[in-house]
Amino acid sequence: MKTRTRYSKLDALTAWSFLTPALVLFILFIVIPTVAGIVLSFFSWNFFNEPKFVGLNNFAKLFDDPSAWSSLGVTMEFIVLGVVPTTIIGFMLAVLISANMPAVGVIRVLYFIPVVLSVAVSGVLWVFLYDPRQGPIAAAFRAFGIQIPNLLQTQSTAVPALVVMMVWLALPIVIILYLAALQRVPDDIYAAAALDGAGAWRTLWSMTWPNVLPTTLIVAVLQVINFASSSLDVSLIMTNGGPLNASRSLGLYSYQEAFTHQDVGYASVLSVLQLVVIVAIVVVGRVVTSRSSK
Amino acid sequence: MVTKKGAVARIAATALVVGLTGATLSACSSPSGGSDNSADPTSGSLSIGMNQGLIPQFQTYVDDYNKTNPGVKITLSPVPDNQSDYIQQLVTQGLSNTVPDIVFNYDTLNTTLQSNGLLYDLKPWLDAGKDGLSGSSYVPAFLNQYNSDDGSQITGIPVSADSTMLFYNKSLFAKAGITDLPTSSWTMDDLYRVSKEITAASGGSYWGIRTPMGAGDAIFVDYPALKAGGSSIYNPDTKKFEFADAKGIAVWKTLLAPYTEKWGSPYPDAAQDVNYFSGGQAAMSLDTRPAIAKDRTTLTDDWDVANLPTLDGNPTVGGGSYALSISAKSNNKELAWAFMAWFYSADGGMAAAAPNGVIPATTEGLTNGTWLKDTNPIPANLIPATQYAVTNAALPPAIPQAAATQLAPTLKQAAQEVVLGGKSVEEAYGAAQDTLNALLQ
Repeated sequence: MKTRTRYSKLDALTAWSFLTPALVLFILFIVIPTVAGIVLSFFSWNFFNEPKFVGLNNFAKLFDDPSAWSSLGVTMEFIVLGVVPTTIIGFMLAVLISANMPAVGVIRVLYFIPVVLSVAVSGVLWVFLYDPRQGPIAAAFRAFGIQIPNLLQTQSTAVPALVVMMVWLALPIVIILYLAALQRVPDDIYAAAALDGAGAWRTLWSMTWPNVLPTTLIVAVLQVINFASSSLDVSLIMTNGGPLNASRSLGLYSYQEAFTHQDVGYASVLSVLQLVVIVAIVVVGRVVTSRSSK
Repeated sequence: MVTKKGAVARIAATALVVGLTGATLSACSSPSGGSDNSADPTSGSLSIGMNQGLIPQFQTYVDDYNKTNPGVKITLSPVPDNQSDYIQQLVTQGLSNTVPDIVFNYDTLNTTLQSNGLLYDLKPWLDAGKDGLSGSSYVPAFLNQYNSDDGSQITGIPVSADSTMLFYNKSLFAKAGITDLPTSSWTMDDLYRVSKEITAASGGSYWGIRTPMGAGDAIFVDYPALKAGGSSIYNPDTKKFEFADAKGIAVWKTLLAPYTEKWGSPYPDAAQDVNYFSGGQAAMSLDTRPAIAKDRTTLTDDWDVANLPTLDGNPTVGGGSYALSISAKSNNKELAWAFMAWFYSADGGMAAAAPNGVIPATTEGLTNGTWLKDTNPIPANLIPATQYAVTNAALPPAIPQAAATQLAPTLKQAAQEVVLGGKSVEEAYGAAQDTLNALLQ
């Protein structure tokens, strides 16, 4: 019994020594900024003056600000348009990559390219791809006699155009997660399915998909966070929230309020709103998934 | 079940986080240094924040300064182009007590930095002509851009008198079969007529003009045009924005015409390189003198510069400047001033800066500066065009802090509503004016 306690303590010590570096970073870069953001939302501050406590004034402003709610709508648009395609395409590509198909080595290298490019470089690359005069996308359409509008400058196409780029950026991580999950699926269930005469599609949706469902939940949560937060830097670089704020997400609106209009208190309120939205979506997702799995 | 020990730990953790947050807040707002300024202006360390594109130029000035002042160690740190990024940088420098002694400043940013107490008041030293650097030697229009709202403080000294002129690509004119080249008597009607002809003749491969108003937030283009047309942006007498009156609306319609009538370069994306002139894609462009260095390097076509056309008989030349300021928190104000006195002297920094196209914003610099002796044959009309530009440049008045940061985004929003949203000029700019005036109340 005594030996067991000593081992437990040793295990705990080992666990804490491994956890501590990540925990310190997590507290420094996640917990403290989050709490600081919540505290700042009760202050009026322009970065340079003395912060002044204003109670709930910044929150009251939120309810009278149509721009905040339209930015929330844009954030939801990013999430709705982005999460499902990223998850499904990522799963399909992972299945293809894990199969023994020709040129799979080349594909494995290619799918990882977006990871090594910074968002800024990717943004400039995609601005060129979307360029209505010189970009290859417009050129391809012109070859068929179709003149497309400037996708980044048309209110109805700006967000979808950004989402396509963000899906491309997000796919490598999703594929890696699914590849790891696919390797854990036992081979014997495929053998059993084959014996029962199941075809490729039947096996995919009835065997593979249910077995990677826990990974799908992780992917979905990560992508909700990704499409809610990454919409800031992508739209800042590629459209600056335009045209006419059609691609201005909550994150970008918060950034503009802080660094263009120097209203840090209100920018913090917008960040808190984004936090609440993400947490709500993740909680609802977890509840729905756990109920359906039961 | 919550144990007593657990509750204590939670309270301690909460206190720690709140304490850290409070410490962060107070660090952001408290002044960093005292007033322990170095009295010896010949030795010590000095830091200068400088626009990243200008650092190579400034390094040569620093090297020149060190030839006669080897005891002064000067460090240049880069400043981002984007104003939001620059403010972020100043905030983090303020938190870490590393704001440079000499702060890079520019006309449209000065009110923000000055009203927040970041800049040291240079007026007493300029009035006294300390170390030979006197405010009276500067062209008032350029120096006044760095005045406080009430005129009691001056928080920056302009480096270069930049003003706008018309750049034109003779090769593209010839390609389009247009012989009507810009002259000093051109009006806006002439400019637009020829631009339309070139765009039409190009078959879509290049434009007659790179649309002057850009994304809609180029105050140095908008203000002189509004002034020429009998309107303004902000009226310091009435303390109101007045750019959507009848004359203002007419000017906005003129400025927006290349977009709305679709014969100028298209409305730009956020990340789009719209320097179509240096890329040989636009036959004409409204630009400032510093653009000449780039065009000399990149443009292989035959090109020149001309006076900007007039509107209702009045010049439409705009201008602006960047400046050097001293940080209010600097512990080396005397040393910073000694460097600036050398930098702004005709035989010191200004002599070293002349090859870079810097036109001193002083009366002497404008009339007798070395820029008048530029021997580069391209562009041929540079000196007469510059003389016309610097003497006719209309510089916008200082905008009150309450609306200073909102002016450019609001005008850009109005331009987008017209060009991309299909609103009328009256509606979009009327709403923009109301929004800005509401901020002043």
